[in-house]
Amino acid sequence: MIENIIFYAISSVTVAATLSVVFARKSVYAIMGMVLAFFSAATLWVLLNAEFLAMILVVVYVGAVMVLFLFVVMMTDADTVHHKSSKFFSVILAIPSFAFLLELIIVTSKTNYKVIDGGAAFDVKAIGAALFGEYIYATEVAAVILLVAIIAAIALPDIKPAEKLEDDFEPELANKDNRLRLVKMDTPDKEQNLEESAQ
Amino acid sequence: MIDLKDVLVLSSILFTFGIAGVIMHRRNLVRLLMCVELILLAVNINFVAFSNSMADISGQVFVFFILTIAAAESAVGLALIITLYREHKTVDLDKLTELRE
Repeated sequence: MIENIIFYAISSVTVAATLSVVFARKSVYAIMGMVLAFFSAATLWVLLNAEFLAMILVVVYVGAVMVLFLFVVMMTDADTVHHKSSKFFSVILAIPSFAFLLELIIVTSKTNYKVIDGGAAFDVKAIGAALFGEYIYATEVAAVILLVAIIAAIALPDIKPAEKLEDDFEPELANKDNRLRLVKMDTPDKEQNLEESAQ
Repeated sequence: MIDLKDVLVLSSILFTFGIAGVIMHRRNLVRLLMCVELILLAVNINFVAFSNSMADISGQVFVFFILTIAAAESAVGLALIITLYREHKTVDLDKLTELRE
């Protein structure tokens, strides 16, 4: 019973945080809402017997990815992009969204799911055994993808912006005169050459 | 004991808000990526809930992989945004029409 009360409280916090992510005026506030959403989702996962994943979510997402988002928002002027928030568009967006949500809720509540009573308590050992036993190939592929992502994230911002050509830029047309030039040179004497090299 | 259907309703709400956010912020690249992260979070909550109720560890392993891929995706995406911003001085998707012209 106490579990249910905690679940509903945390769920409402999650939904509120999600609302702030979508409707916040400034991107920094949206990121703060996102941090709250991830924290409350981690709490939910603890209630659902996934303690290890909850810790991973807090460390990886709140600790790393959200900081990345913060840096990007501060480095770019993300808030100068004004979206046209006309009332007509809001209504057009709200009606299908609400219909979609209603449909999802109806479908999920009408379906009968196989539920094992009491749930299951997993420890980290079981997750490790599955990761490095049954799913070893997927783990290797995930490791390679992470490596590729690291290299891409380091190398991509290093690309220098291409120099733009001016509009009135006219390339110099090559002709016979400036492509080839005959130069008359004196042939030095052999003895003089030897003397210079000796010096 | 938490009812499975309650968790599914919660993740449906998160998913719907994520999609609505993607449509709302379709011009702002950073906000769009954040809403995609919300959608992934909804999917992860579903996986964890089913893993709990069916007493199967596979759901948690899949959440692990989804977290890995999502972290890689957002890292590369944000690096691309920085590169684009340096070139065009904007993150407005409507102004990034280089390939069309």
